[in-house]
Amino acid sequence: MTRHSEDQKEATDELLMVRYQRGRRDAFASLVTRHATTIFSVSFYLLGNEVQADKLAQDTFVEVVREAATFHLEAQFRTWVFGLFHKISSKYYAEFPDKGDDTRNASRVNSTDALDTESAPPASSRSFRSQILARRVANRVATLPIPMREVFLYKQAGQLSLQNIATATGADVDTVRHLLRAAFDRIQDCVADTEEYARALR
Amino acid sequence: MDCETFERIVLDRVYLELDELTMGAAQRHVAHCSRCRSIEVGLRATRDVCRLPQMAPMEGFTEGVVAAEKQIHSVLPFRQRANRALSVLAAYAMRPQPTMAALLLLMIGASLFLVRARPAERDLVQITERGVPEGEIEQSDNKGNNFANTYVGANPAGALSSDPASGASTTPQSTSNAHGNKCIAHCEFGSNCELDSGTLGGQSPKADNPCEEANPSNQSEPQLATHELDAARAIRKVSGCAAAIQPFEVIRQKYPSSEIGQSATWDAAECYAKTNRRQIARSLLESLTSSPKYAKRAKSQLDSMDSH
Repeated sequence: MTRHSEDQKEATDELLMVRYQRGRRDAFASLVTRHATTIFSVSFYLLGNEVQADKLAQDTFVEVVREAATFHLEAQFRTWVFGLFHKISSKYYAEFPDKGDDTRNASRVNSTDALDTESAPPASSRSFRSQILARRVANRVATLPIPMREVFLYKQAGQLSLQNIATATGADVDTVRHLLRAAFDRIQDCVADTEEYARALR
Repeated sequence: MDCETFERIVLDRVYLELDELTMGAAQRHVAHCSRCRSIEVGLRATRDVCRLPQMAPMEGFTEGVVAAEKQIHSVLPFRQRANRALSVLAAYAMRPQPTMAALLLLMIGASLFLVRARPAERDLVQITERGVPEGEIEQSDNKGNNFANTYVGANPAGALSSDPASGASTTPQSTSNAHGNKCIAHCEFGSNCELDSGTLGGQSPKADNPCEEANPSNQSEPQLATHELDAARAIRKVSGCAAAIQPFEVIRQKYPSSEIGQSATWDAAECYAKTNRRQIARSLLESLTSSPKYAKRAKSQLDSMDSH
């Protein structure tokens, strides 16, 4: 491995973004590699469709390219990217209204085809029960209203802090807390009867 | 901390995003509030159970994004392209090495244009009594010398008027002579200066600018003769009497009975005397005893030589 690629590996997201602003395209490739999984995961759990999730994630990175000049070193890259993601996903909801339709998503949960076997998370390292639980949670998440779903996914899959979620979505922190708490309450109802939940309570 | 405040920050506590102080206050609250404690435990359990597995993107995702990025940059608007180029240049300019190199080049370039040679490295220039650099006098002397040689070799009889001894040509010759003497401004011999001022006598129409006629190409033959005498005197001034004897002799022989010739005879006699050829000097002075202009001075000079 060259010293150059080692530098890229050790550099923070913000530094890589500044390098990209200065014309280093390899820095952008590093950023994509580093954040593709997170963005795609949030996108997938948000839309419930792998192809559309892939498109949303790609569009998000394309938006990163277009908006690269607006990034400041003081900002957190992850927060900034999720801000762009939020903007792009809002356009998706306008373009594909069924993605935000709670009723339709609820019917998917009931028919358990919102996350079918092919598009479900890889389960080779997880037990069957955990796999079932994850699908159950994912299906439940898919029934949440969009703002609630977004906040929950930004927190659980995106690993953003509450403050950063507020920054990315343009809401205040108390609103984010309220939405996340509501999402937790709804999902809690769904998982409360599982063995994993009972174990976690202990 | 009360229950309402605790419920507001419970998620921050579950995700460990509280500051230390608030975290301690919340800890003290849940220690004695079983309701809030059960809420917190339930939320922690939900958080742990609801950890969604990370999904790997589809194959070729990164390559697709990078290709899209290249495509975007290939059709980038000029303004953004210019900004990007400026940003790249600025990034290089901010580095110390290019800055120092640029400064070094600037200093070298500026020194080539601005720094003058040191005074000691310049050629020495001596200013003569005429107020011109010495080199120019040498040039004019050489011109005069060459001119004199050419003149002698070509046609001495035709060079001057057919009647060199005539009185008509004497006056302008004297005037020119005076001008030339003024230009050369050699006053080694007080008699010469007296003679020149006397000869000038305010008669010349160009008396205000005596050097105006110094250009040989614009002069008549008597003026050229005067110029030859001036050149010979310049040679004497610059190179000494030994070198000046020959030009004086040439002039003397060319214009034996004219005022120029007499002046050349007088100057030649002085040079012979200075080079200790007294016999020749004496014979020349004796030849001048018949000249109304030089008779008195020649006799005086002969007496002086006799006394020595």
